[in-house]
Amino acid sequence: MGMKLTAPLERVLRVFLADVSARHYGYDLMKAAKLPSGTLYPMLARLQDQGLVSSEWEPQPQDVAGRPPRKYYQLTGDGIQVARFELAQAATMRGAATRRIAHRVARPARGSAR
Amino acid sequence: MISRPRAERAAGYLIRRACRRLPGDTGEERYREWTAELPAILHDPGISSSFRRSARALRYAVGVYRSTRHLPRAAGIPAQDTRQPAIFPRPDGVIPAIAAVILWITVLGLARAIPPGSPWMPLILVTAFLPGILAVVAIVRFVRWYRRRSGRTPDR
Repeated sequence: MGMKLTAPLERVLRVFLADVSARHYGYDLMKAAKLPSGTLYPMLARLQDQGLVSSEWEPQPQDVAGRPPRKYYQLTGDGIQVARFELAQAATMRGAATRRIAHRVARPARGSAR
Repeated sequence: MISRPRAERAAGYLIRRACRRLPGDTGEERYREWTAELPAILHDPGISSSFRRSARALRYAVGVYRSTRHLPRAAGIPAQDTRQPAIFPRPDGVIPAIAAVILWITVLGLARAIPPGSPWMPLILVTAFLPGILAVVAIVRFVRWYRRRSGRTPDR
């Protein structure tokens, strides 16, 4: 799929995966992922272009009278699979890196103990 | 103090400007999407102060304005499709070059007006250095733009 998992993308995917059936509008995602609009929207456009996220317009706003309809985003079936795979891979790599660092810290450096 | 309608208007204006950079249908759809988020920000119950809500709406609009530079590429739209052909193309760096040269001349004029040996002289000379650098950078950019336009290198 050629997805480069950056920290902001990881946060967005985590928000989507927290409830895969939930639909999110832009400001909702911004708050949940703690990302500025300037980062979020290009990312959503890229995900949508790759077919990982779908969007649809809210049919009729129910809460506030006169509020314009919002656009909602949701992970597609492919998106769910790819997001889970990428996050799992990132967690594995992070775990391996942590173990490597812990191993180096635990092992005394050669020549340091006399 | 930024009143709510004023902040909404200012944010709406920025969003409209941002969407003009996008091709027809995309720009229209993005405008609808982004302006529809403004009431959610301006009525956000998680933010107690109305000033902070207004500031957030403006920050949102500024972010959106910035994002339209990257959005066409992110959405797979070729960059040249998003640009309107300019009748009089604006040269790169000509406005910063003029501004920096004016600033430089002003600071140097100020330096000449101050008697030699004044304790302010080193400060003014240091202050003159930055616009000088900016002027040189801007002039170089302008010269490169001019050479590109003359046909040595195709312009994008």
